[in-house]
Amino acid sequence: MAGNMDIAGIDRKARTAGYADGLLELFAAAVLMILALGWIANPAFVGILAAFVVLFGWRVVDRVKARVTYPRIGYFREREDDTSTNPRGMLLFIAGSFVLVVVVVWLSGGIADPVEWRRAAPLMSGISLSGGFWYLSDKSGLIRHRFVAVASVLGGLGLWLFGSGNDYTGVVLHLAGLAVPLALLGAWSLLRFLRTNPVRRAEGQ
Amino acid sequence: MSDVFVDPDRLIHEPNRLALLVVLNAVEEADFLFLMEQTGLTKGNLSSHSAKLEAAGYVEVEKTFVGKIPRTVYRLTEAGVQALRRYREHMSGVLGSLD
Repeated sequence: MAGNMDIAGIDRKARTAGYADGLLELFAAAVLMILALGWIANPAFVGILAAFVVLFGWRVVDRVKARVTYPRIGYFREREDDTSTNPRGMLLFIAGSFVLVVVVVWLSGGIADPVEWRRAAPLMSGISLSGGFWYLSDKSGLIRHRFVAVASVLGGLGLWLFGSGNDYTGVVLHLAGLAVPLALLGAWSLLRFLRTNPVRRAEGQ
Repeated sequence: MSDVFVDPDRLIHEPNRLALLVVLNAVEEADFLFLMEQTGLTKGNLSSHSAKLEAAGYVEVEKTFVGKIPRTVYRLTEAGVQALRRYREHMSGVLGSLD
């Protein structure tokens, strides 16, 4: 083994190990789909629903990782923040995107008009989610996460430009439109992960 | 002879141990199986190299149980982080001085 070790490759593989099982994409897809359903059922509770799902959803992911991921590739805990883009930057970006949408709505002359706010909702969703996925791509180094970030902005922009604002269909379509490909990507990654990594019950077996 | 050709840290200069430190530098902590998977080392090699890194104070080891299954968790110490950083700078200096 010594002498022909690809140290850069080992570093890259270790840094992306947390994304190999596809559970993150599946979790994100579930969150987005639940939010989409929340917008249909009762838009007033979407914020609370989002906080609830993210808070308790991670525990479910951790349990699944303990049963599916760690017996196959071993236990590891990712670094909290080891990239140039930190979570504070992402939150600032989301806050900035909110201000940007307020300006857009104001410029379109409908700051007090609920229709304009409903119309701008997918744009807000698109920009803020892109911040999250951009941060994720920075952390994971995976191009698919950057692709989702770009698709989120473009989708939100398109739905804002061509949406009517009569109801919340735009934001529901945006969330579901991201959730479906993410779920497929996650399922594909998980299947590949299960196929290529057999269970190794104890250390060193 | 230029300063950059001064001996590197021999402990890290060994590729298997360097690989172990690189993996531990990428994560907060990892167990034995994860290190084996990532580096491709055998159980014996991994035990031997990790023991040397632990003796040097570059990694810390915690032995626990998950149910009835033993789990040995490794973490890079601050000394390990600094040693890896110095080694990287040293090697960059050496290779950077070549035409």
